Amino acid sequence: MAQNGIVPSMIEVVNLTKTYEGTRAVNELSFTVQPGEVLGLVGPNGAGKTTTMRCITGIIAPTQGRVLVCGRDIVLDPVGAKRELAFIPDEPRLFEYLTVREHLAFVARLYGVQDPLPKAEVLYDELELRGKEDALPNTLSRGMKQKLAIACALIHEPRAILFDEPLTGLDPVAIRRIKETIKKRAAGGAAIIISSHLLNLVELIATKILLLQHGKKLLHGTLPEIQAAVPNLREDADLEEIFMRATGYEAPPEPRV
Amino acid sequence: MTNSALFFLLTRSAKNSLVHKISRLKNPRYLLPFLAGMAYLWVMIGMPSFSSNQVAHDAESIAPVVQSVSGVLVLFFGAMAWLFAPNNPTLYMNEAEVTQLCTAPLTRQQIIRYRWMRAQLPLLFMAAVAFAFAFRRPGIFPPYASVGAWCMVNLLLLNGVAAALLAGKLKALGFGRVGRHMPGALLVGALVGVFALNFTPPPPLKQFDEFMPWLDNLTHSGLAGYVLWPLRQVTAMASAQDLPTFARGLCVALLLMFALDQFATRLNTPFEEDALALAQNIGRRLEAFRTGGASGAALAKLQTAKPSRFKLAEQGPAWRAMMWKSVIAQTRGVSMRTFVPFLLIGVVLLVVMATQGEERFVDLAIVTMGSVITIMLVIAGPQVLRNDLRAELQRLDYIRSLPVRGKDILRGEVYGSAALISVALVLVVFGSVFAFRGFGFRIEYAHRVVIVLSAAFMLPPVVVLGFALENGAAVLMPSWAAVAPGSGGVELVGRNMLMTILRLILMSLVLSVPAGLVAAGIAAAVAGYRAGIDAAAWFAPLSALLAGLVTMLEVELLLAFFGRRLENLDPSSERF
Repeated sequence: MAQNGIVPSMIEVVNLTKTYEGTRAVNELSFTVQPGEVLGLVGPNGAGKTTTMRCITGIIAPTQGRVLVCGRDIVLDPVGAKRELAFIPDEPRLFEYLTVREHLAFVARLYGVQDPLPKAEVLYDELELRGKEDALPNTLSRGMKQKLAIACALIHEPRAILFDEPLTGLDPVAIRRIKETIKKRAAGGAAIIISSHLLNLVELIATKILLLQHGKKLLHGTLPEIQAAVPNLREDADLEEIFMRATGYEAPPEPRV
Repeated sequence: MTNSALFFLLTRSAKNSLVHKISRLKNPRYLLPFLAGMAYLWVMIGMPSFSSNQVAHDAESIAPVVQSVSGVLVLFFGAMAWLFAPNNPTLYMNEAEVTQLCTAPLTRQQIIRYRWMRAQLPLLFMAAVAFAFAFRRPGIFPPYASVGAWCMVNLLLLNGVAAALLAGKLKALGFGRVGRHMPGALLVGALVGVFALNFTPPPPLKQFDEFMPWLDNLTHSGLAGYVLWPLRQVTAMASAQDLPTFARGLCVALLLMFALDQFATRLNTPFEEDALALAQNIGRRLEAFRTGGASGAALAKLQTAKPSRFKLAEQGPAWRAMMWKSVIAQTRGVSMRTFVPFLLIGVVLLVVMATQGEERFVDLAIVTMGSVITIMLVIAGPQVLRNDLRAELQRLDYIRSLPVRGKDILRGEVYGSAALISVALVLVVFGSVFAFRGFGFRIEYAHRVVIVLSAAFMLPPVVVLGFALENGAAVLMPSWAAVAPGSGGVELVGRNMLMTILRLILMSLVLSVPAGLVAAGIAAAVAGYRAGIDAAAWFAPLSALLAGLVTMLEVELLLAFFGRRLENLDPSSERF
């Protein structure tokens, strides 16, 4: 796959701009996500995280710029790009009258998955959906719904996965399960983007971090790289401190005399 | 592969939905409304009627008029869809569909066709209703009626989708609001021009024999005749008497539908963003409507709101704070625009009646409108405006945590909602009574004041009672008062009907004493008037005042009872 030692990006965002009635929700944003990389997308409310995710998934069209998924332009070749992609929104959006099993069967057929039954069986166990195969979504707890949404996203073994606030409202056991799932997919070579306000989670599983504010890229890189980019920061500063300082919610400490 | 996946989604969802709805009929909460709704449907459409040959003959003789009028109506609604397309949503899908289908490897053409397929389920139900309606009705062949109705609605549906997708395409190409309205404006302009060529002033309504030739000239001759020809063929299908008429209409309908489908799908309009925004918006409004009725839905439309004109005093009884909250909940979504359609209908009705050359027509219009609005407000008002305790059932645990007695919570909720309907009622009665010219008889102003005062004393307590009973039902039977998720159609009709019947029975029991007082007052007024005592007319408002006070006393007793039940209601024991 790699040519001349350069690994092609799974997700490539080039000068992405999205304008709503004169307001720039995303402003000339560029970044890439490589196979096996987990990019933590963080920023205050209204920073443009969800808009960026929706542009990457093709739900909304960019005003300017390009989004490539596995080398395919999401606007020019949406079907080809989406075949490699999975999106898990913050709220699990499920079909009211499809059971758990039917959801997986439907998505598998939508993506043309070969031999889907064994893959579904693996996901039932991995995401603790075993015993709920014939349940309708309205009988499931929020956590189970979220797990079903994740199972639907993973059954076609996507090479690019986008999680928008994947852990909201989940219990500690479910959180651990989903963290393991994310790590496992990244280890398998998928490129993953996680948008979350849970900074300790992002710090724990992201290999790179992209901090947005007012639709613009504020910081981008590994944790040590973004630590180095913020002046007057403690050496052991965590992501929360970096976030507060970079976004201006916390002033730098007074210099000691 | 992907088309079969979409077919799987449609068929499996339909099957599961049906199984779910049938299996829950084991619960009386769903069975009773379902049976009531079915009974209502049977009475409305299924019962055999009009079986005489004379009626069949009459139906046959007016068929050309019905076809012409239907053709004009289809053309009108079709043209309006193009005119207002820029204001309409591009393509409606729910949030699950947007999230799952717009991110899946599907073409826009596939998604548009899936959406059309999904709309077929309710349309097939509608076709079945048309079949049942036509059954045993002479002059209508049920299969033709059902296919005809299906084709007509589908044509309008596809027309709306095509218009909306064109507007969306123009938006994506950077056209402004004016540019996006241009295709619709040009179409409507052309149609108006076509019909203007045939237009002559219409004859008065009482000369109905002249009306038919006038309509025939307007819709059949010249260019308008050619424009309406295809739509006449489609609308003739439902009442076709022979196979060739039906087949001709079917061919025209299918051709038009094919043309619209090709136009809509080949535009390749980027509808995903609008679909997402709409899905979120509709989801929010449906939930608001489910809990808060019409005022809840109006409230859910708002993005921002001006400070309310109703001010809350810093100190005072707790129930007034509840009442203030209820008034704001019911009024915040209402603006002058809400009343514009009703005012327009009223003005048009009055103008039509006034131009008939006889004063009694205007009086008839005033009496009819005044009575209908009054009855609707009293009977349907408490069911339509649900933004009171019925909406609060969702957050009952919070309401129960407030340091306010159950009676005061109910009092605030009930009086807040009832105040608005009462004001509207008094205004309607005032306007009607003073505009009424008495069918040629002279009515003294003093007598008009007597009537308005009587209504003002008696009607508001009746409305308060209606709201008290609806909110009381929410306390006594919370799971009944709340509209269950997924309820709709026959079940919802039946549920509303049962609740209304129950409320009317209880109202008639509670109002028996006040009604006796009012009857006695009116009898005294009439007797006094006959005996030549002019002042006797004032017995009517006096008795109405007394009856109103008795009703309010009864309402207070009911609120005390419901309030105690509210204080003991376990929020976790009921599934709202």
